[in-house]
Amino acid sequence: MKIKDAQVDGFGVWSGLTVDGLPDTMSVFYGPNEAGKTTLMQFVRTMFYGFTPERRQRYLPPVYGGKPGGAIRVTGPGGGYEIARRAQLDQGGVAGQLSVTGSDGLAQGQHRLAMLMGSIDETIFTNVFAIGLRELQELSTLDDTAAADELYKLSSGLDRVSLVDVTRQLKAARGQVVSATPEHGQMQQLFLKREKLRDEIDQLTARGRRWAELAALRNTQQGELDELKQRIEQWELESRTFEVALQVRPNWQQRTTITEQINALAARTDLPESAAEKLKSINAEIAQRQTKLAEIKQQRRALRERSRALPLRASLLKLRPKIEAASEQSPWISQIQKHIQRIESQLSQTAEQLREDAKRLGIGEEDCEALLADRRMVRMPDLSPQAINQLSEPARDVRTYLSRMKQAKQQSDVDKKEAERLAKELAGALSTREHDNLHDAMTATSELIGLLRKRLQIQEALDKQNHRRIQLEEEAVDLAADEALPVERSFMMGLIFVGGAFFALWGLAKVMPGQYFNIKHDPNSGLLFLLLGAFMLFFWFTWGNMLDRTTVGELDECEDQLEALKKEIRKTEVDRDEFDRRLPPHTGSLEVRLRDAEAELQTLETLLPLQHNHQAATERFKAARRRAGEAADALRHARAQWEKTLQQLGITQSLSPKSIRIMAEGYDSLLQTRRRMQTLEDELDQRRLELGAITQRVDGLLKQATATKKASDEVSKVSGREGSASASATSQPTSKESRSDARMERGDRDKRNQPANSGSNMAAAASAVATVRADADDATKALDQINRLTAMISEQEQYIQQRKGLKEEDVTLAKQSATLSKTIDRLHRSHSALLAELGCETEEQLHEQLDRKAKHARLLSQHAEFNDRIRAVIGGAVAYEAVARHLDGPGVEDLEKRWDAVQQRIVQAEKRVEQLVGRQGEINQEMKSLAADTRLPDAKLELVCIENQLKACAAHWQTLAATTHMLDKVCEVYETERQPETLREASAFLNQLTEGKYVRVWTPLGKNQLRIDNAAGQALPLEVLSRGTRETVFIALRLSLAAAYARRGVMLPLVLDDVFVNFDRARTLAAARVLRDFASLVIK
Amino acid sequence: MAKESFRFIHASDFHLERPMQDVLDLPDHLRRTLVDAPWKAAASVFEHAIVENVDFVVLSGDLVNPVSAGAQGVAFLLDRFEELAAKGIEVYWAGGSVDDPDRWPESVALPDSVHVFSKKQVEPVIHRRNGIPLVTLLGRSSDGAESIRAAEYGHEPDDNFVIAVAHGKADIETLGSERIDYWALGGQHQPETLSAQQPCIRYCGTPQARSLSEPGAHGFVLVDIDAQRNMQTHQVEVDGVRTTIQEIDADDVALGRDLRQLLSRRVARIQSEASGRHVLAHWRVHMDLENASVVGPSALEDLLAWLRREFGHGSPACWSIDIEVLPPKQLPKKWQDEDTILGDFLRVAAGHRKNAAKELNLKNIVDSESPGAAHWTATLLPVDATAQLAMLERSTLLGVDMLRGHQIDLLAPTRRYGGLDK
Repeated sequence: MKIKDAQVDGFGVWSGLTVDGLPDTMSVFYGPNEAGKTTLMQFVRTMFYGFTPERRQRYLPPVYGGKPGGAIRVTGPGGGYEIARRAQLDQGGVAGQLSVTGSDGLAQGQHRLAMLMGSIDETIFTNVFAIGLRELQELSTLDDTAAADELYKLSSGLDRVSLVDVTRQLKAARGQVVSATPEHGQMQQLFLKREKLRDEIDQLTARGRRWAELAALRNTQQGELDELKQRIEQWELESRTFEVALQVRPNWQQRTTITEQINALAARTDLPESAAEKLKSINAEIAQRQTKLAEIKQQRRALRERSRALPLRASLLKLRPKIEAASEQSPWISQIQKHIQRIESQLSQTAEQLREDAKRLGIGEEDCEALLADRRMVRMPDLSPQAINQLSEPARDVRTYLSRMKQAKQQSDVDKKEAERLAKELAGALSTREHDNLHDAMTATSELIGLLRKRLQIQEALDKQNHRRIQLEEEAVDLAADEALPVERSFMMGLIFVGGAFFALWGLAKVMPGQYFNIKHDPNSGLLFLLLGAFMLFFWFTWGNMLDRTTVGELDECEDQLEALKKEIRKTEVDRDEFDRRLPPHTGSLEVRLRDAEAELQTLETLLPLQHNHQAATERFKAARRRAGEAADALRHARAQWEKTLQQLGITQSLSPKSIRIMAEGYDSLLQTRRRMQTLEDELDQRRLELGAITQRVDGLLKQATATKKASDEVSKVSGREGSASASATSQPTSKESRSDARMERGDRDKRNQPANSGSNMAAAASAVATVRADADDATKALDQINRLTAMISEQEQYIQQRKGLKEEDVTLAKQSATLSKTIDRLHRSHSALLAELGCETEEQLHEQLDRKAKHARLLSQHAEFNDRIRAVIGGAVAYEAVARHLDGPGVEDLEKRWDAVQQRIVQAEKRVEQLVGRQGEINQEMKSLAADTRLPDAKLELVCIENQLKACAAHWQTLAATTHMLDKVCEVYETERQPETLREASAFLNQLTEGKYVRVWTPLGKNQLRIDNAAGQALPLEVLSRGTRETVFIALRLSLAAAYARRGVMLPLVLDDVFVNFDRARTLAAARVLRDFASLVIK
Repeated sequence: MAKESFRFIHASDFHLERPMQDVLDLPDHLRRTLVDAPWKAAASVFEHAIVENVDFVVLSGDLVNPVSAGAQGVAFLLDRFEELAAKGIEVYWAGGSVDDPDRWPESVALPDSVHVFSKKQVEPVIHRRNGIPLVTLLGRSSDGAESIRAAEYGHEPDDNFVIAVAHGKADIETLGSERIDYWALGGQHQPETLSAQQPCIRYCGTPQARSLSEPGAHGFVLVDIDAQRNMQTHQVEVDGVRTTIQEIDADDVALGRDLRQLLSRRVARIQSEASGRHVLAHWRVHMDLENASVVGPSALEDLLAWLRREFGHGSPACWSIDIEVLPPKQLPKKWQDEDTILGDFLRVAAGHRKNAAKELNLKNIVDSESPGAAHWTATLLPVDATAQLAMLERSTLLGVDMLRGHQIDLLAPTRRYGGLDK
């Protein structure tokens, strides 16, 4: 790429500057300081890479106004381009407004610019292609070593940055992380910190072990402490026991004395206090029982007196079974009474019915009364069953034949009407047809159908024969045409003939070439063609003859068939005409006529059932007429027989069979009613006899009872007067008995009156025992008598019950008396047993023992009083047994000494406990402070941080080292592949720039140093060269780098700004020549 | 058959001996919080046991290393156990890898309410309420085996609710085959429900996350069993500090000035998710080298300082541990094709990448630039192939940055760790 024109709208000191027509080789801008040369170089950089913040700050806004930016026109691959870039002052973007416009006027963007720049970024462009005064000044400020180093970097790879720089930076960075000396380096310091923290953590962890040891010690001491406390508690208890024992010792001794007295008394403490009282109560109970026994004996005597005073009649009780039997028959008497009443009612009803039956049969009042009076009827015909049987058969015959005749007449009427209806329908259906008879009509229609079908068959045969005739005629025409001029066959035959003739001639020509045939002689193929031609000619001849013969034969045969067919057609036409004559004249076609005839036949067939029904109805009418005649004959014969039978039985002949039957049925009913009435009268008589027997027996029994009672009363009055003296004492309980006696007396008075009333009947009754008939009133009377007898027996039973009650009371009193006697005996035995149980023989001895026991109780009370005092002193503080052990055991005198010894032990133990508690507190405090110390997790967290930092440092160091490792590889590549070429070219430029004074730039193998050889062949290090020479080397190396890029296809404008300021005139001229030549070289 | 309802707490992995990990710089104002976080979380478990009036507490191991946790660890547990005993709450403790029952100091007697399962065999214990059997606990302390042997937990079936207490890795298939109602598992710091249905298999996780690899909420499990044996589990969060790794995509970085706004929003989201807890955040920035200029030199360090200043001092605080620059997923192809030093460098890096960085041997550099002791070699050389590859990626990024003129200034991290330039 070359810059052709430049237009600065506004940039630094430049405004509206236009530089046109820059040459392809080299352009020199000459001017004093601050003329704007560097600004122009920066303008070029800006056009290529934009407004960086540094350039924006330094060159914008333009000093003399104008729109910031401008444009340059360049030539490059693909033609010329205009690169315009302008900036907005209020916007800080690096790129600004970039436009790249090609020669064709198409606007393109950053990608075209990047392509023109060969993808070289600004860093490379600045380092290699745009060298300014600043770089030279920087080089000048360096000391010799640094300057040499800087120049070496140029030779050892310089793109964006120097490879040497990068390697050194990496090494320096690694040095910060890890130093070769133990004291420096970040990781060393971190290691130191880590070690310190680890030591601290170990110490803190050891404090954890100390805590565990303290815990163990605390446990041990706690055990000892617990044991001591337990012992102190025991000793304190013992001490208290001694103290209490000393306090209770006097009371204890007095209590011992009382105990001895009690033991000496030997009182019987087992004797109960209530023994005397118990003995006393037994004696009182014995006296009370004896008094009560005397009272009971007195009561029993009174009871026996009352029993004897009761009016009990043993003779009356003897009649008791008979009276009970009579009373059992009272329902029977009532039943017979009701039966008699019911039979009498039925008898009256039957008599009434008999009167009605007689009235219905026409029997008169007199005859009826006679019939009731059991007399015979004289005016009634003999309508006995035998007479009825004789009449029944003729009567049944009359009824049967009369019924049959009626049925036959009704049937004949029905059938006659049916036959007439059917005949009318049939006549209506046949009226439209020629025939009167249905059968004839059907036969005629069937024949017509047959003729029509045959006619149709003849017509079809005729059509087929005509069709065949036409085919044969066409065939005959075709055969005749084939015989006359067969075109296709002739063409085929001609083709075969021409072919055969050709092959025959061709073969002949080949076999015998002569003057007419200008053909090569070839007898073999010629003979073959000749044979083939002969064969084809033979085939043509044979096949032609055979085809001619076949056609003629077929034509003859066809004409024969045609002739025979025409004969058949004529014969068929004759048959057709014959059928046409036989058929009735009709204008329609044959098919229509056939269809009409078939429809007619179907209609006639539907009339066939009607015809059959008519015939059947006619036959039924005739049969009914015949049966009616036969029934009329039989009826006449039966009537004659009926009249004859009536005459034989003597009954009027005007009597119809129906009236005879009514009379027979009424006679039977009358006879049955009369017989039932007879039966009822017999039964009534029987019941009256039964009732009479029973009333008689009851009456007798009542009389017997009355007599017996009277006799017994007499006896009791005598005995009552004898016992009145004794009974007066007990008059009160017998008031009831006197009332019953009064009732008995009243009954007796009634009974005395009653026999007086019935006394007159007694004789008649006794005389007519066998024939007594009783009626319903007698039955009522008998029932009253039975009731009276039953009342008497009930009264006696009541007395018996009273006596039984008195006897039971007496038994109860006897039992009480016996019980009291037994109780008195038992109380006597208890008295003796109580004394025996208490071990005393007498009551006095018992009282003595009880006095001794009372004294024993007093002593015990005193003992208990002392005991209470002792226990009150002891209280719940110490165990009673422990005190007893001390006071009852040996050594009771030296209790004070033993108490003192225990006290001393307690004091010693408490001192030890105090020490241990104090120690425990110290241990707990120490453990608490150890547990509360959070420095360990704190230190651990710090250690984690340090270790993480170490890891990060190590990772970073690894990154740096690995980068160095890879860059060393790059260095090797560069030194072996690129540096020799670069240095060789730089040597040439240096030779030209120094006009042969210095001829070579080189580097020793494996060392990062540059050597400069002068014309004398001396190899000089860079440090010894002058400032101007070093700048010359600098420019030579840059030119070689630019040339290297050009060889790689990257050709960019080389912009040098004030690089010759330190050159003398001769070197400046040489440099100008070198640059001119360089520009030309690059163009080529 | 309907029985009585009950509730218990399942907790594990207190790891009282272990501080917070992955912290690079220890800020003074958060020092106490970070130190106390594991202890407070563990104390919360026991406080909840009392407040929730549970019947018993099941501890599935790795509570404390009695040796390395010092006096505080043992005393802490002892005090908590005694508090529970005073409330009548029993403790069933299966030891893990750090709290081997044999390591517990003999001189320190545990309360009678604490039952430590044997490490030799599975031990059945019946938990009773008022003398009536309520729960059968089958437990075993870890004997060093990595996996839980489910077959050892076979038992005679009874009417009690059965809880298995175990420490180690679980296989859901084998655990599910046993007649256990609830598997109380320990040994995994992240809470996980392997099976929510019958049987319920759960890792309750540690009450307090320690490292960046343990993100999210942590706590313990509160289990409620009703009379019909219906189970309800609640994960109760008691952690005081949470950790998170936040990735900033290259596209986000390309937004340039909005990056701080983006980070602000991200911090707000993190703090919202943490529900008033402190958060330790690690930022991973996917660097887009083509647009790296928008980040600017030392921008990441400034950014970290800004994050710490803005969000690291509040209550709750979101303390940014570090900003890690990740290499872009793919470097521009044209860079590698360049005929420049950068191109040579990238081609060399690609060659190493093909060989899985096996030829990237730093031994010579270690020997020449370090004091040379064996521990330096062990510290400075990558430990495995993964670390080697990661190192290669970082080196490539660093090389590219330096050869392109320090646009990101990736040497800056050395100054962040309290290095010489600080």
